[in-house]
Amino acid sequence: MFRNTWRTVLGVATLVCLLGFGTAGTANAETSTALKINDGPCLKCHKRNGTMLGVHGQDKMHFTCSTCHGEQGVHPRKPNDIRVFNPDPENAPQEQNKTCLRCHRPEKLAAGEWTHNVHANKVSCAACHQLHPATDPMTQMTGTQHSQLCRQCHAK
Amino acid sequence: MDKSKRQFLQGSGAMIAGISLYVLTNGEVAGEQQKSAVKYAMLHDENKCIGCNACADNCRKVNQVPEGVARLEIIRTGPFGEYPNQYYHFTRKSCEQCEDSPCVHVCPTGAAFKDENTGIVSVNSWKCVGCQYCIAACPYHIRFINPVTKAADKCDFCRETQLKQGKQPACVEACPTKALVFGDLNDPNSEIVKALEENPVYRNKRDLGTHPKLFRIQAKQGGINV
Amino acid sequence: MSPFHFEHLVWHWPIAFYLFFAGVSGGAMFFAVLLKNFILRGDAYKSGFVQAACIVAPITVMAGLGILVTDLTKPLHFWKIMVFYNLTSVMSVGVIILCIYMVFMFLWIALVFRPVIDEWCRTRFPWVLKLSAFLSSSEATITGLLVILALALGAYTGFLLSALPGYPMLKNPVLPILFLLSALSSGAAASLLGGVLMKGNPDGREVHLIHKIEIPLILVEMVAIFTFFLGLVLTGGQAKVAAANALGFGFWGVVFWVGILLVGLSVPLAMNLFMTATAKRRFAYVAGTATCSLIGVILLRHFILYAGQMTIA
Repeated sequence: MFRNTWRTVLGVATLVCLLGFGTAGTANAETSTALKINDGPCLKCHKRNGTMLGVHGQDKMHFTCSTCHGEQGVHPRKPNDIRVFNPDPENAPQEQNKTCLRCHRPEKLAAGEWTHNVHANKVSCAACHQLHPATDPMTQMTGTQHSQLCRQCHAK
Repeated sequence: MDKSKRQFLQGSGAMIAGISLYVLTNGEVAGEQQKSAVKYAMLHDENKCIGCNACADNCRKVNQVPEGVARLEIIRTGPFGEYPNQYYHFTRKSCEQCEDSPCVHVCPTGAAFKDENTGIVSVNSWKCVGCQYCIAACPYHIRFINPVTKAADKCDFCRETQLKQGKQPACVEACPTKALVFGDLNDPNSEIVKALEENPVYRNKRDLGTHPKLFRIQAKQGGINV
Repeated sequence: MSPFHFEHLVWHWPIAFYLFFAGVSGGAMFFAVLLKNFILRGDAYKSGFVQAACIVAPITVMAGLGILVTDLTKPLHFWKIMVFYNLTSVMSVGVIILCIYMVFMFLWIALVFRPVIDEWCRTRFPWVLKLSAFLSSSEATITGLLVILALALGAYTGFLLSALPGYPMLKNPVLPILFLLSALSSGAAASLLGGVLMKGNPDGREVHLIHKIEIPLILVEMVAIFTFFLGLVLTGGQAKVAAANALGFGFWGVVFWVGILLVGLSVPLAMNLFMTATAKRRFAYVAGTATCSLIGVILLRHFILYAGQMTIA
């Protein structure tokens, strides 16, 4: 009993810390927990892996999970039409990136970061970017971290 | 008056003879082939380079180069081609380690010098007074005044840092794609001599007669094929 | 691209003034020697023009040296240039020339003013007379070396820039000759201006002699400038680009056409011809002409320095 209370306190504290950290991004801690996107039906099953805290989950964007991942269809039965985003080359990057490119224009992406141009449809966006956490790790990188990231794929 | 004229002629004649003798003897010394045991050079393969800047990063760290100046930069040009098949060109901007170095010739104190044992053009920051003649003389525009030491500074193939510890230069160690090859031109078995023999290479501004030792493999196209 | 700040600009205006001052000093000494040896002889110290040259030369050469030192990133380490020499370096050789030049300049000035110095020292420091007598016995050598050193100093400022392979406009064999010629005319102008200000006769023999030399000097200078740029154009490549950049319609193009060719060369040439023809020289004419010449030379140094660094090889 006693032990359990401590665990809860620790857990909550960690969560608060993590969320507090996220305030550096556009999403803010108070609203992230209460984002409308997380009230959707998907979260009934995807409680563990599905909390959407990133920029794309802001209420004013009026996104639902299906905006990016597609309609539920026969899911969770397989095969289904749910769109999955991951670095796996089996999952054709060109197809994955179509979803992102519906809104993001290549010229704008290139203006922010030149490597978008060379990776274009050869690497999936999800290989570098993570949209579910409060902040995308790509947005706060030092020059050294940047070149270390290149090394992960390019090193021989 | 006649006497003083003769005196002057004699004096200036002797001086001219002295100067020309000095120049002649000096010229002979300079004309001899200075054969150093080791002659270090570098090769930048622009096909392999991905422009990640790991080399420049490590150079800054190892040689403690202050922010705002750089011994090594990767210059990115582009993009070329049409989306989604665009590519960039990357060129290395650093000391070209000329055999016939303008910076060494113009330095009034000898602070810019070529190490006779390795052929590396280097800077003695204590001797440097900061006249910036070398910065103006370098046709590759790679020299700068180090804001900390107030002396001229530039790439010396990590002569004072990595090479002293028997390691490869910082940039070479850091390169993830092995786009940089460093080695001794006098050693026929060295990796760089083999690479130079196998690849068509170019060097910058060869027409200036500086004989740079930074070789480059011209990029066919930027990026890598996945 | 602003005219005073652009990529690959290493040397700024202090260097232009250094080049100008070194040239003025050498030129002034050259003309002072001419005036003394050809017309004034032992009376040279009485001439306002020689006096002016003997004041201007030391001040400008030391001002130039001062500018050079303060422009270093480590001014307090200046002595290292004096201690460590590199004979392949134009700057190092220039410093040697500058040092020897200063010695001979002061020796020669002392010789010019020997009557005054001797008079003053006769009772106070009699040993000075022995020293001046000794110097006087080698006057020809001192004068000869001073002339050579003064010319070397004027040319050195040009060689200093022509040793830079990265800038096609500066790496030009005509540059040292051009700088030597303009150094001489700036020295003449400084002597004339100083001379008339020091109550020298604007219609005196000195002015006549200097003007007689100045006319061909300006003409040769124009030929040198013409050769300089035509050489760049004929060399082609970046040298041609450099000539176009320098003489085009930019800031430095205007400086060249108006400041150097018109004010610095054409106006003094016309004035000199006019004064020679009318044979009547007045203070305003002489001073005005000299001022135009000096402005022209200052502008030429700045123009060459900045425009030269605008285009790279």
